[in-house]
Amino acid sequence: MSENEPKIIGFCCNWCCYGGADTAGTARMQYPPNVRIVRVMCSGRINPSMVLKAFKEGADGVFVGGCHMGDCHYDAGNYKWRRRAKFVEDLLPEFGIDKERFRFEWISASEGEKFQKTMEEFRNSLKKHGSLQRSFSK
Amino acid sequence: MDSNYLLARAKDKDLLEKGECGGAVSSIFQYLLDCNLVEGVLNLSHGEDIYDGIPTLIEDSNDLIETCGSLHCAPTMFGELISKYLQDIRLAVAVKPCDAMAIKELENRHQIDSDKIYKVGLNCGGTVLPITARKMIELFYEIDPADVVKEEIDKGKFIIELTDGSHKDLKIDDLEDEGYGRRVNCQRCEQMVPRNADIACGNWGTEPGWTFIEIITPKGKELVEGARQNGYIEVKAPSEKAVAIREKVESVMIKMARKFQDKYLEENYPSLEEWDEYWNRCIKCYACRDACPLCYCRECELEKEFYQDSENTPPDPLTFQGVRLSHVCYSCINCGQCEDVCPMEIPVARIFHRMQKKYRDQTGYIAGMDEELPPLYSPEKE
Amino acid sequence: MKLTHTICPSCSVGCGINLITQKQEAVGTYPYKRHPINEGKNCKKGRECYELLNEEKRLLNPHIKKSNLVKSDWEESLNLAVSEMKSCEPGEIGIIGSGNCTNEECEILKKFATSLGVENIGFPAGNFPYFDFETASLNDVENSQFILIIGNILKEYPLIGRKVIQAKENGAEIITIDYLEKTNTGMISDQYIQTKSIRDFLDKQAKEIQAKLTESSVIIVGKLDHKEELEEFQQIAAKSNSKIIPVMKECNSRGAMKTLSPLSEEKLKAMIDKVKLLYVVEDDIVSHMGEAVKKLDFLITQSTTLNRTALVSDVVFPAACWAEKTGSFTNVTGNTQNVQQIVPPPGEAMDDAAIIMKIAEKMEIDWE
Repeated sequence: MSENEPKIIGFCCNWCCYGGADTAGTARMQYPPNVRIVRVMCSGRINPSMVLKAFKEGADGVFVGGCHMGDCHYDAGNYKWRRRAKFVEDLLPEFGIDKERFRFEWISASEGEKFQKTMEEFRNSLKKHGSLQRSFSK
Repeated sequence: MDSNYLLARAKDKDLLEKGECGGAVSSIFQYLLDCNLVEGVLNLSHGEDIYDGIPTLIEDSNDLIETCGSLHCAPTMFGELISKYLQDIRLAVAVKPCDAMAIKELENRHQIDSDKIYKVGLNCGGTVLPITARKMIELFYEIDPADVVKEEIDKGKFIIELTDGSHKDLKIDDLEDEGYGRRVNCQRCEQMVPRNADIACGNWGTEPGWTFIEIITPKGKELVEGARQNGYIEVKAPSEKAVAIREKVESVMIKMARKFQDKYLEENYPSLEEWDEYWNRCIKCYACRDACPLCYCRECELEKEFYQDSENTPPDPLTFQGVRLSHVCYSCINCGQCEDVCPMEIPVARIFHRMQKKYRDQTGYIAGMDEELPPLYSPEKE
Repeated sequence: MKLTHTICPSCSVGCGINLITQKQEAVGTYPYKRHPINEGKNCKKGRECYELLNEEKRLLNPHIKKSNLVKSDWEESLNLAVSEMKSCEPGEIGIIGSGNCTNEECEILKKFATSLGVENIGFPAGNFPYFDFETASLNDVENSQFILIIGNILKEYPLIGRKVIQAKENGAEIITIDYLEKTNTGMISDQYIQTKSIRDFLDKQAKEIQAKLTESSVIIVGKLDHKEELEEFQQIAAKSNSKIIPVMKECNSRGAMKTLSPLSEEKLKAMIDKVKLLYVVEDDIVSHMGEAVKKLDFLITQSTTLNRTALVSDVVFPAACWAEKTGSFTNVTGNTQNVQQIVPPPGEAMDDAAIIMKIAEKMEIDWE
């Protein structure tokens, strides 16, 4: 992967989005290799700190994939995540990070194509923004 | 007593004389202690001078006289003192709106037991930092701060009374334009009447020598009724005019606060570059966290190994203030304690207040006023 | 629950702090916003200073060394210490105080030494020499236009750091010198000079910076490699009429200096080599002198905790800590502030002055 390719951290729910990525893989759908997937048991497990830590460690974009509303394996995890995600969108600009660098989607295990398309879109959008240049530097 | 508004004053001579506005608040505390409804009263007592308010637990009603009078140069916070040290006792506490908000948030988090606590609210137009007050009195009033025996905030003025009984006042607006006056978070605060306490007491719209009381909760109603029946206070109904004046004062102050919110949180809000300069000063001393009445975790995530940066450089704001914001900003009551205690003069409260406002606009959650936790914690499917 | 004003014992800045006590036990701290030095702001060490009082290793009883250190009582331990002291010539006795002792304790210690004819007395002051010039005030720092800083003041002494920040907000230029590649103080400075040693800086770059100094400049000396360097900084300041403020570690270093002579590591080592018996009040001498004390015939220690020095001592007296005793501390700018007893000392511990008096009594010293 070339230097100027954006680095993406993708937090994927075990029951849906991670399966979606798997489906894309087994069907040999090409999606950008930029994303490093971290499997979590539920999008409700993600807290804003994890997104912040990913950006701190040098991610150019952070993606979170959860189940469609109503499909949560743990009943309401994705509802909880959605409320946090809205907050993350508000918080990032306060530290000079464009909220377009953060994306969340609902992708089921069968939606390999949606996963592929989302990743392509996200990568292209991040490429337009260039690599994350944070003004706070030590 | 069918109205929720009444005027009250002490029956005890000493309290009537020494207490603020007829000593109704002190008398209510006296009633609570004497009748063993509480084991202690948490209030401010005078330290070395009028700029020094010390949180004091009174357990004997004879000592209440120490806590008489109001202090505007004592920006204290009671929330944490109660949740940390006074959880076990039945308590009455004199609260500014921000104290009441902190207590409410802590009650929602099960850190304070609401059944054990009487909240006697005091209307508040803002507080002044003690050293700022002294400098301001020297500079603009041209008076030795040691000669001031009493201070008062009324009708947009900061009024001082001198040893010889004379008064001097200046407009708070003018003082604040010069960077003095009330703390900036007080300027932004739109909660002048503590409607999250059991009763709200103050001098707006009242007659000299009387305290205007607004009854807010059934517990508050019982409290005032009990104090009256047991002969601690006398009460009368305020005139319609008095109620109107009080409402007007409040609405004018709220309007002003909103103007200050725009000024500090939008127009003059620090740019990203300015924030970077502020964050660069951070020495990660955790003073902001420790002073925050909402932060109560026994084990703080900020101290986890995976957030540690180098010892001799500032922490990354994303994983320091960013993480703090993501934990508590929904409930930020804008008490300004974080900013007060920051040794590096970082205007921390501004970013917290701004984020709370964003959250409030989206969800309608008003920190410190709602009976429930912010919707973020809700298990509901919504 | 009760809140009491006191002065923070964590460093020499002299910040105010409220100590929270519950049932005669220190349980926390609370901002003291009326205090003119720090206005309610404290560093982490400061806010946690109450923990000093509740340390697990607090000494509750006198101890004497048999094969190991064992619990003793006041009578036995005092008798042992005094009989050893009596068997020594004054020249064979060394007395070490500490920058953590109150002014009053330092004076009593000095008086004790004088009455015995002991000349080997002092306190460890790192690399700081004796000085009595008028230092810059904290307001001078805040109102200065140029500040030269030696060391990581923001991190080590945050409440002086705050004055630097305030000066910077008023437009002051800041230059910092230190060893590391990056420091907090360096990062808020207009210029950061990384140096191998302070000597190196003085020889190579000091001249250039001297040109920037005016009467509205302050030099903050937060560390020294050798005590002679302070004099050089002082000369630099004197030439340009600028002010200087040496910042020392312990809360009463400045006060102790008035009665006891400050000892550098070398001087301390020389003293230990010369004497047979060493009487140490409050200083954890082993932590900075290490093996050197092994040469001693007899070591008497007054300490609040069972620290490394106490562990190798022949007699250990349990001492009261800050907030368990009354006295005064003199801060960096020469401002003397009183501290009061707020909680009782634990166990059989006594304040240092009382212990010294007890020894003096047994030594049959006539105080007057």
